[in-house]
Amino acid sequence: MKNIMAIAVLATGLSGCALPYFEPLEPTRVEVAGSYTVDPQIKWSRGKTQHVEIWTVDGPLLESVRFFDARADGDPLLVPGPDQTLPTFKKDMRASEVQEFVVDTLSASGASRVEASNLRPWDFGVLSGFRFELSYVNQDGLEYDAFAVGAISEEKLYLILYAGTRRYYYPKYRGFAEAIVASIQPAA
Amino acid sequence: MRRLGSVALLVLACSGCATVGPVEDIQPGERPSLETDEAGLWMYMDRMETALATSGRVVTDPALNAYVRDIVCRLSPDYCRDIRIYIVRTPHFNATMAPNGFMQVWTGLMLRATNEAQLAYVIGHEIGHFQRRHSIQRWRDARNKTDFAAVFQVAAAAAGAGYAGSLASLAAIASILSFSRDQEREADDVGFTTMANAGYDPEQAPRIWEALLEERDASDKPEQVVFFATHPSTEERIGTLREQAQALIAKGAPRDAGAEKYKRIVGPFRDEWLRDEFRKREYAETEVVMNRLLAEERQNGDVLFMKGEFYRIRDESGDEDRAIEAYKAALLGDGAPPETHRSLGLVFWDAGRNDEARASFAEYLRAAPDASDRKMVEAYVKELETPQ
Amino acid sequence: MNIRLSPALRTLLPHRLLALGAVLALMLSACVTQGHLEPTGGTLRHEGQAVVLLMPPDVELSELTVGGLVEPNAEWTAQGLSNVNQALADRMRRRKAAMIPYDAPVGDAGRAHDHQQIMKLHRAVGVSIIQHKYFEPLVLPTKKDVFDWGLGPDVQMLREEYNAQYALFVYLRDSYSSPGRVAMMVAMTVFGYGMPGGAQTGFASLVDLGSGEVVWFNLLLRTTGDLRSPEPAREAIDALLAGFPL
Repeated sequence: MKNIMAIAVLATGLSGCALPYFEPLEPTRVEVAGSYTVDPQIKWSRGKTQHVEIWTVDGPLLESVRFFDARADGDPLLVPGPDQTLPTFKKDMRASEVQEFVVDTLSASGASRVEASNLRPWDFGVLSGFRFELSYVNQDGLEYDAFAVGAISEEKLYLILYAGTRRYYYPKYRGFAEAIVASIQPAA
Repeated sequence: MRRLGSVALLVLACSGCATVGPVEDIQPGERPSLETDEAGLWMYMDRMETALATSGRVVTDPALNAYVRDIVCRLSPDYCRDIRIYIVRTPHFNATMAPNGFMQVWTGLMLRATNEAQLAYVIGHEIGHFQRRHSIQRWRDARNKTDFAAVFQVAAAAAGAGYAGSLASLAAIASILSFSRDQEREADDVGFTTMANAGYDPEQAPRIWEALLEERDASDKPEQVVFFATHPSTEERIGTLREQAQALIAKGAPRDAGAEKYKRIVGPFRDEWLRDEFRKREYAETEVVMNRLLAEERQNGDVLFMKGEFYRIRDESGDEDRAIEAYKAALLGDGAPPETHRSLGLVFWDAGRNDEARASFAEYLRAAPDASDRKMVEAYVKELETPQ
Repeated sequence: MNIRLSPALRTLLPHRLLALGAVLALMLSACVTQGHLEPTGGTLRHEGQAVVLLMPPDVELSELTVGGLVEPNAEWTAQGLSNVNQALADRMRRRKAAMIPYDAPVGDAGRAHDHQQIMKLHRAVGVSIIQHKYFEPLVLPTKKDVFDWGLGPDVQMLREEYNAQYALFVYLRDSYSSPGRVAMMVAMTVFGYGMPGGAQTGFASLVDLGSGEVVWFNLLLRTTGDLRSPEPAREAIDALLAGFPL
């Protein structure tokens, strides 16, 4: 077990998110985050950790789509490590503040030079939501690009993050990630 | 159980390098000879240095780097060429010194120092670690420590408890970067003497500790945040430094603090580094840091904007009004950024003051027509115009 | 100067390279698939003599102290690196491939940055391959039956600069038990408990500088070998380059 832990720790570009066990996901519509459904487009490896579901093809260090469970007032986005203080979601946040919340969470989890841009309205399924683009470097200095889409409904935050290495992996699956977030529908 | 043959050679190779005891000061330009344990430590640190240099965390601004470099050379012309400075962007008060001459100065330290003399004292302290070769002493000590732990493991195995702990052993490596209390005391002496000899105002040395003490006293988690676990108590060192400073001043020591130059060169980075502090969500200590900066520049629009940001993000009872007051003051001063209007709009909106919120957002769009979040803020205005 | 480090701060201390060595050592006792990897149906295509760009081999030799502390040894590392370079050069010569060493660009910050990013991406890909292909509990369903990792088209800048078709990346860690550690291991065995001694771990990969594809990859995990002398180092390189397509 120790071996797995050590490797999982090494693997994550961001601290505080250990690697889950991955199972296959077929390209048929599927429910995520217990709240809505999406069309995966292609086959993914699907893993679940506390509060977040991760889809990847080549490995989460290279690219991933992350579906966060609905976050309520006072919740951090990730599970904080021991002695770690993470920003918390507040139910009265506007899109600008959610962007700040995500940027600050990434910064607090080991990413640096986190920059957000192009915050704009965006339809999260049937919800009026928002979208912004991100760039950051991980603890090894490797550059990443990302985008986030989200919405607040009934005082809860719904958020999806697609991230990958700026070179090769982010562009490789970006089209699929765009199609996935465009396919959001309310769960039956 | 491999290589028992080669192990015999190792006994010879290592018999001369495992002694723990006093070591000589390092000489300018000196490199440890390849067969020593010190060379191994240097090699390891060279690797760490390369990793840090390409980690994206180093502030590369040439003027800022040249400035800190000049301070090192003014303090220690002898070691100036042996020491490489890395200004590391991280919101904590710290500086580190590796045995191979790789020095980190953290932006959290530069944000807290209010003049060059205070920074020079801390850098002098780090030069002290380098000069006295504290790392290799500490490394030998760490090796002995884990050796002791291993002896304990054999006992545990004999008792049936099993073998555990290779990860724990690895974790011990991290401790090579922390120095003992005696080493810290020694580095303090070197730092103080060095800065005073270089003509810096000796009274600034205790000041930086006093500022930290103030933060520690305000903090909810003092032992975790700024408390110097391995250091002589801060009160003790402040007392000692004050006495030493007074004695030098009585003898007519120079009093160069370098406050103006420090503000000119470090000032442009202050807002960025202060925002890094906000990200820690350790509000009590951040408020102390911020108020100290504010005390220096009450009319400065961008400092007041940051004050508003602090209260908006903290969002405790009464913070809405504090934020609004700070933003308004910022807009009356010089240099408030256009984002002041956007933040003011967000706080007004939260407070249910929708007309003022809408006006603030509209003002933001006028002040920053090319803002990358323009579409979102236009949507805010539209939403606020829609009757509820 | 030193405050007690919070977890966020510890992440600043660049221990990752060391950590990789430690993890590889741990994998010695874990459920790990052995053998080299290459894309299915992948025979290498190049015209004339193959030219291989040797990226700076990342080699470190250390001593394992009684307590299990890994103490880097500069002298052994210097010997080890020289032996590794020699063994690689001999191997390429035997296979009639040309090998040229990589030199970091000087005075061109933009190009240096691009090269660093390629090397960092390679490290991330290497770690991903080890985790998700060799280490069974973490094997990705999307990678179970294929081997198709790559670095993307940016590597073409290396092809153009060096006129090379392939880049070879080598990472090796070798540790040797100290006399005290050996005594400890004997004592532990007497009580019926195994205790890890020295280990030789590493990985190597060959990247096609046209397509960016990783065309060959191998992981080395063993408790034998010695990079400090030329012959065992040659043997180690042969083991590391098992199934090497050139």
